[in-house]
Parts: sequence; structure tokens; C-alpha cells
Amino acid sequence: MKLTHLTALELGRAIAQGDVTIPQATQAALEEMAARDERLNSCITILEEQAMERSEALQRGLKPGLSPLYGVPLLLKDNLCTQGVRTTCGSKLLEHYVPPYNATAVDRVEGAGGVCLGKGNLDEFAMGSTTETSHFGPTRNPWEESRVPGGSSGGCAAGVAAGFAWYALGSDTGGSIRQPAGYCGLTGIKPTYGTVSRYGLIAYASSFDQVGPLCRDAADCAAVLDVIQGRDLRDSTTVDGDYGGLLAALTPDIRGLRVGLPVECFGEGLNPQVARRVQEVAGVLESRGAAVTWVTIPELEWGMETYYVLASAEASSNLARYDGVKYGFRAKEYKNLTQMYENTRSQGFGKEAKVRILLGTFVLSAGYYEAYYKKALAVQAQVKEGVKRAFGVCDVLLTPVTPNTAPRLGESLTNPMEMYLSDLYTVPANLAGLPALSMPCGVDGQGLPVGAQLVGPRFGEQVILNAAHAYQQETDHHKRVPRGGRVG
Amino acid sequence: MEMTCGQVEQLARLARLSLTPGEQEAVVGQLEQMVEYLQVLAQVETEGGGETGQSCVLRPDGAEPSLARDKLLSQAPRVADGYVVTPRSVGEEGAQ
Amino acid sequence: MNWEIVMGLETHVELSTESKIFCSCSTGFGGAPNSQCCPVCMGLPGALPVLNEKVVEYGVKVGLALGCTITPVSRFDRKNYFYPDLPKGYQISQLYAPLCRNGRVEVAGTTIGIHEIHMEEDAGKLYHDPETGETRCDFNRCGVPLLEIVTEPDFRTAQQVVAYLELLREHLQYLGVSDGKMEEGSLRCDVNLSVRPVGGDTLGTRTEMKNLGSFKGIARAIAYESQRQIALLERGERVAQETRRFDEERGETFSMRSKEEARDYRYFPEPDLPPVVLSQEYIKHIRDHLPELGEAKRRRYAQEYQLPEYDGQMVTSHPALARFFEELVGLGAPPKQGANWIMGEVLGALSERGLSPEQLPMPPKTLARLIALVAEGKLNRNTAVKVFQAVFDTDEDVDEYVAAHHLEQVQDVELVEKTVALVLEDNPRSVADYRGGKEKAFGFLVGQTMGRLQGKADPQTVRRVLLEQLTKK
Repeated sequence: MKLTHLTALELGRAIAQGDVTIPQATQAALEEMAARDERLNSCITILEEQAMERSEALQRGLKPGLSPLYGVPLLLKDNLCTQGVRTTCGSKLLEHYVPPYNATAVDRVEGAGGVCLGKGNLDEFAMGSTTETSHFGPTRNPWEESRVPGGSSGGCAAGVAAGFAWYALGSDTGGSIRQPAGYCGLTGIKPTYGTVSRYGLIAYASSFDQVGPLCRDAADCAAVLDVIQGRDLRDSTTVDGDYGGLLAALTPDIRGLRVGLPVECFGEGLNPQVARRVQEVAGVLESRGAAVTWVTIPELEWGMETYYVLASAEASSNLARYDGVKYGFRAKEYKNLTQMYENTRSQGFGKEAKVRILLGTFVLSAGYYEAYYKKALAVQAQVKEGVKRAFGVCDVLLTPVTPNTAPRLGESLTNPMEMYLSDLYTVPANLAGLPALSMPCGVDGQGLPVGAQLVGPRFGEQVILNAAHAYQQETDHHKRVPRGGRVG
Repeated sequence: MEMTCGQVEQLARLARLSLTPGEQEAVVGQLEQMVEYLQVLAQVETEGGGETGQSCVLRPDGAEPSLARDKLLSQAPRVADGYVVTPRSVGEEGAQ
Repeated sequence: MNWEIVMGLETHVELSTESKIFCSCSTGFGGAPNSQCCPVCMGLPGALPVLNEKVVEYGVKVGLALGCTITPVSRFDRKNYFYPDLPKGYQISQLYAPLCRNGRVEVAGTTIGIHEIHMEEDAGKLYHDPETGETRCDFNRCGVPLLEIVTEPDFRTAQQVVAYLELLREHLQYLGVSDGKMEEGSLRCDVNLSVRPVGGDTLGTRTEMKNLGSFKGIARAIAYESQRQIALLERGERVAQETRRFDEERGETFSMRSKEEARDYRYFPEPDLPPVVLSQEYIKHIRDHLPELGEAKRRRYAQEYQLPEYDGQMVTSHPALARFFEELVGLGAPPKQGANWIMGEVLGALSERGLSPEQLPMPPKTLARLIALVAEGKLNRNTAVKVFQAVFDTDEDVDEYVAAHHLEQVQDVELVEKTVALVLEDNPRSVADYRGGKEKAFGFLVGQTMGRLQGKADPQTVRRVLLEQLTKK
């Protein structure tokens, strides 16, 4: 098997055993990138020199007892701040912005010996589900280049799928890790809200944003989570979710696991091919000793509306700081302060960001706050309750990641409501702050990956990782690599 | 729900966004569509708001070194004598 | 028609913490522009706030001192608006669940309700550059912790307003949470003012006055603004609801905005900070450890020490003075005498030097010793004052100083009698004048005697001996 298609843990072992050097691995990934990223556009910034230098330094520091991910190259979504390396958030406003500090999650992967190869493309300010709203152009899906990779962590998903790196750190606000993982045939996890620090993650919607890994299998996800999770004194919303070593406790034994299929996630609008693949997952889990039942969570019906009110409201405030005063882009022409603000922001933000800022401004404005924002908060509480009730009768929920497989480039731009609906199944986990994992479960008629989602209760990472791990022992969908990735 | 031009203009003013006539149509259209979509919420029966149950972790008081000034200002579009420079603020909207 | 003024106050108090409310940058004054900033207070992308525990503690202290109920679960909210002094485009403040509510204080014979007290962050400083017409931003003050204390519209006179602010400042100083200096901006007050016919039960349209930099300025601004509103109403015009700036030099208020925009701050709960949950034990602990405030001290001084009301006021006008006074009494000084020294010499020496009470260089034991020496008759009061002035700025020991400069009071009555005899011999004119009924001559003779004794005699003794000898002959 090609070096670039090992899992992160496999590469880590090869490095530890001296079968591969870190510079060799880095070189191999950079070569893949050089060969194909001009077409895929997965990275906004490629850190060729820096990565080679670091890999050589890490190679010199190699000794027994290091992290299982020591020396493994990765991509970082370009909304994670990197000291001295520009961090654009996919926006013209931050095109030349160089942060003076590292995000906590970045510090942690670097502390574990990670080699950052590049900053992954994303929808502007992580607002979108296709990576088409990036100021730096759309990313293409390595499985089929006329398709989108999903979003907003589309650059990271495409990059890992194409063999440009062994894993990536993305962020998930309404599905931004799981949905692109689903479209690109990867395993990705959005952890329980508060278990991974958001410090240095450029905010979209603070109540929902969470950093997490995009990997080639569940074991890699466990290893990365072990590195990045934990309380951070710089993020007041982090909690002590210390559930011990996820990787060490990872087991394929899922006998007695109660798997719930929410009927609401298998209804109208779901592509039958996707439905079939996901139900096959249920079958596999059952064959390994799990008990599968249908559950009903009627509150999920309001998930999307609730999410869009709350996320847009927070976004409208989080994006107020991009005003051309302290950093980033400032419009060239203006006659006074107000014009400076308006021109800077109007020229700086793309259309999708503008729509969400205006929607957020609307739901918070005098006269509408109660009817929209407060109402959405109350509905969110009901969604949480509904999901909690479901976890009374099951241990994990199994759903599709998206109603369809990856759409063609440009399709969503003409029909934004359709794009929003692609987050239908992923949003509830964000609303309820729950851990949720996306894993490949086969392909549709066109050979495009289909994703299955496993949602766990709060701090239930281990449960969903075990379920995914069990599934991946039985199947090899996660081992399939995109055709275009088999160069040479 | 239909949004009036004035309403959108007021929102844009609050958000310091000016929409070009070309953008106006698309943005307003999408905004209307979304607001329409959100009407569902009004029909949900609810009581009270959500509580996180989490409590804020506090930090002990104590000063630590700040960020080096040149590092901070290196990102600012306009700087003079250690100050960040903007157009005249006096008399502009937003003044406290 | 007779008009009544109705006022409510919003006071911003800058808390004297070491670091800012949401980050570890120093709150110190006088740093080079933008030298006390970090990713958090500059609102850099990705930075998050972490609340300073001292801010909560100080807020609870002030709340308890003003008789408030402390909110067990209080929250932060974002107040959204654009202005260059606000790096994030929103201020982290409290609207929906402020730290304290429903307090009351007694001032100038009225009860003033405290509507709420909330925590928030200060904004940066903007300077107008007259050469370029541009604005220069210094973000050092961004994130300095503030308490905003909002009263009910219970004020009717400027005197009440000033009395309230004086009491508030005293509380802040006694609690040790702020220096309360209006001139330096650590106490900033906005006055909401409306007028209505006397006896009316609805409120008129109010204006909000800002930029009130001194107690005197506040009284003048209230006088001007109430007259302006009354004049408008009497002409049949309307008062516009607006913010007005008081021009201290001209003594007038001016409308602050050229462009009036509908205020819509779009407050919503700050998602980066979970609620601040305070236990009953925590609140009780703070309540039990509140320092004795000025009012209580005045009551106690009157009862325990029989200190006259005026003396009590003066001695408690600053916690450093009260502390000095209490230590003085603890060292054995009679309270009334201690108070006299503080009101006279101590305050005089401080003002000569332009020092505030907390900068008082003299340790209480120095003054206590001086007072003791006077009481023991070893030093007369005038000499004691001289010694006081000589050692005020130093650590010098009083006894050593007195010995080194031979200032002990003459105890030898015979020496006084001899000196008086000599003085009478040398000044026959004055003796004759005195006997002829000119009282003034007596003072002259006292002065002469004291002069010959280098001022070290007990003036009482000198008078007695003089009188004896003058009547004898």
C-alpha cells in the first residue's frame, strides 16, 4: 500500500519503528499535493519549507514513548490560528492576516509531534456546506472533481482523502466536519461541546463551534481526540470531559449496544440509495451483537430553523470585529468612518456571510428578539430534551450524514435552501452539544461516498468510536481511496 | 414574511453593510426566503429558555505581560506613533 | 407653574484590579499607547474572554454595601455597536441578569433605590488628531473592569445627587475596590434628567447628560439642564430624548450627536461565558468580611469616643484617615485630641504637599508620641506643632528629635519666676501700661518671657507667674 494511504496510526508506528522517516512521509505528502492540489484547491496555504524543516527536527527528536501520532503530517482548517502563518478563514477580510498566537488545539497537535503541511480551504468564515463560498475559490472532491467536497471543512476533507496528509483538524458548527467527511469517504468526529478548546478557532457560532478530527478511520479519530481534548483555562466553555484514553479503551466489542434509528432522519427527502447504505450499517452492527430499534424524536423537526436563528445571531456579532480598524482588509476609498466600515465590510464579506449577518441582525433586533432569538433558545431546549429522551432507550443514534451524496459544483449556489438542508441530520448534535461521528458506508450508483452518522450522549465519544471501530473491523469502505488519488 | 426595503436597509445599517443594487436583489430574496422558513418556530409551544447548567470558571486576578506592541500593530491597516488610525470618529453613529 | 426635577444616575466605577476583566493585561495607567493589549482585549480572531474573579468579588461587595440582592446566577450579554474604541464590535456587559439588584441607600434624608449593578468592560481611548482630522486609537483601557450602578429616578435636587455620589465614593474607598476619583475618570456619572409639574405622577421626556467631570460640574449641569427643559416646556415646546454633553467651561449642555440613529444594541447572552454561579456561602463569606464603612465608623466614634459630629465627618472623610485615627487612639491618644490634630495639622500638611490621605508619610506612632509629650507637659503645643512639621516627611523618632534640638518644656518654676522678674525689670513701660488697664501689655510680657525661655515654657505657667508678680508689686 502507498505510504500516503496508511492511516495516521499506521504511519506513526512505521515512524516509531524506523521503517519510514518523518521527512520521507512529509516529502511523500508534499509530492501528492504538488501533483494534484492545483486542481483540487484543498489548501489556501502550503507550508512546504516549514514542514520539511520541522520534520527533520522531529526526526532528530525521535525516541521511544512518544505520542502515537509523533511525526504524522496533518492539515489544519484555515480558521485555526497559527502563529506566524497567515490564517484567512477563507475570507478576503483576513487574506493577509497573520495571528500572533496558536490555537490551543494547534498547540496540542504540535506538542504531540504533528507536522502541519498546510491550511485547509473552507467556506468563508465556515459558513457553508460546499467550500464554494471561499474567497480563495472552491475545492473539488477528489472522488469526482465536478463534485463539491462538502463544507465547511471541505479543504481538509479533500486533502486527507486525496492523500495530502494523514489527518486534519477541522471545525464543526452544524456539520462542517461530518458532512465533508461523508462526501469524501472519511471518518470524522465532532466532540461533545466543551471537550476541545475553541481558543484560537475563529468563531462562527460560539455555542456550536467545536474543533475535531477528519481521519481515515475511527482509531485515528480516537488518537487525535486524545491529543486535543481537555480543559483549557483560556476557554471558559471547556469542561472536564476527561474520559481517559479513547484509543487505549477502543474496542470492537459492541455486544448489547442499543442502536436507535430516529424515524425523523429516514423520511421524506432522503435519497433511497443513502437510506439503504445506512440501514446496511445497522445490519452490520446487529451482526456484531448490537440491538437496533426505531426511535422517534419529533423535536428534530425544528432543528434547522432553531440552528439558523441561533447560529446567525451569534455570527452577526462574532463577525462585527472585521471592521478594518485593527487588522485585516480595509477598503481603499471612504469619506468618513461609517463609509470606511461599510465599504470594508461590503467589499470584504461574500454574499453568504452577508445574508447570515443580516439574518442574525434581524433576529436580534428590537421587536424580533423575543419571537425569533428567544423562541429558538426555548426550542433548542426542547430538542435537547427530545434527544435526551431517546438516549433513555438507546446508547447511540444512527442516521445518514446527509440526505444525498456530494452535489455538483455550482448547484448549491443557485439553490441555497437546498444547501442548508444538507445539514438536516448533522445540526441536532450541535444544538444538543453531543458527540457525533461520520463514517463511510459504501458508495452510491455514481461511486460517490455515502456517510453514516453515529450520535452519542454527552461525553459518549467512546461509545460511538467503539461502534464505528466495530463496523470498520467488519467492512472496508473506509479503506477505499478516491480513484484520482491512485496516482503512480 | 416579506421584508420591506426600509427594513433591510435598517438591518444593513446596523450591520455596517452596504449592498450594491446588484446584490440587493439576491440578498434580500434569500433573506426573505430564510425568514419565511423560520416561521415554523412561531408554532412551537415553548416555555422558558434553555439553561446550560454550566458555571463560569474564574481566573485569579494578576497581571501578565501583554503582547509586544509591534506585533499587535503589524496587522493594523493604518498606524501612527503607536496608535491605530481611523477616520474621524467624532459625530459618527455609534458614539457613546 | 412649579416644576419638579426627576433624576436617575448611571455611575461607572473603574475597579482597582491588577489585571483586566477578561484577560491578564495590566490595568495600570500611563503605559505607551497599545502597550497593554493582547489577543483577548484587542478582539483578535479566535480569542476568548476569561472572567477575573476579583471583579465578581468587588461587584458583590459594592452590591452588599448598597443593600442589593446578589443574583445567584448572573450572566453576561453582548451589547453590539460599531465604534473604533470597541475592538470586538460588541461590549461584554450584563443586561438580562445583572450581578446585583434592588438596593437602597439613605442620602440627605431621602431613600435612593438602586435598580441594578452590573459588570462590564471599558472601551479604548480615542484622540482626535487636529492636524490630519483623523482619530487615533489607544486600546490600553479596553477591558478595564467597570461596575455600572444604576439608580431609580429618585433624585429631586442636585444636593441629593452630590450627597449620593459622595457616599458612593466613600463606600468604594472603604471597600477598597476603587479609588473613586472623578477627576481621573475612575468614577464617571451620567445623569438622566426630566422635569414635570410638581405633584405629577408621570415622568417627562428625559435627557442623558454625559461628561460630568466633578461634583461641582454635576450641580451646574443639573441647574442648567433643568432650566433649559423648563424653558422649553413653558414655551410649549418639547424636550427631545437625547444624549447631551456638558461643557464645563461654558456651563451649558449640548446635544451630542449630529446624526441620530435609532439605538438598537441587539443584546443577547454572551456565548463565550457560562453563567456566573454564586453560592450562598460565597455571598455570606463576603458579607461577613465587609469592612466597617464610613457611616458605621461615624456612629461608633460618636458613641465610643463622644467625638462631635463634625470631627467624625472629617476624620472618616477618607479610609486612610480613619485608619490613622483608630491607630492613634489605639496607641493611647485621647480621641478628641487625635481628631484635632488630624483636622488641623495632618490635613494641613497633606494639602500643603498636595498629597492624598493614603499617601500620608507619618506613622501614627509619631503623632501619638507628640500628643503624649504634650499631655505629660514635656512639650508645649506650639513646640509640638513645630516638631510635627519637622518630622512629618521623615521617619525620625520624636523623642530623639526633641532631645537633639533641646525642645523639652521648661519644668523649673523657679527659672520661670526669675525670667519673669527680669522681664518686668526691663519693661517698666509695659508694666505701667498693664497696671493702667491696658490688657494688651500682658500679652506682650508673656511673649517676652517665652522668648527668653526659647518658647519652651508652659504658657499656662508663664501667665500664672506673671500675674502673681504683677499683682504683688
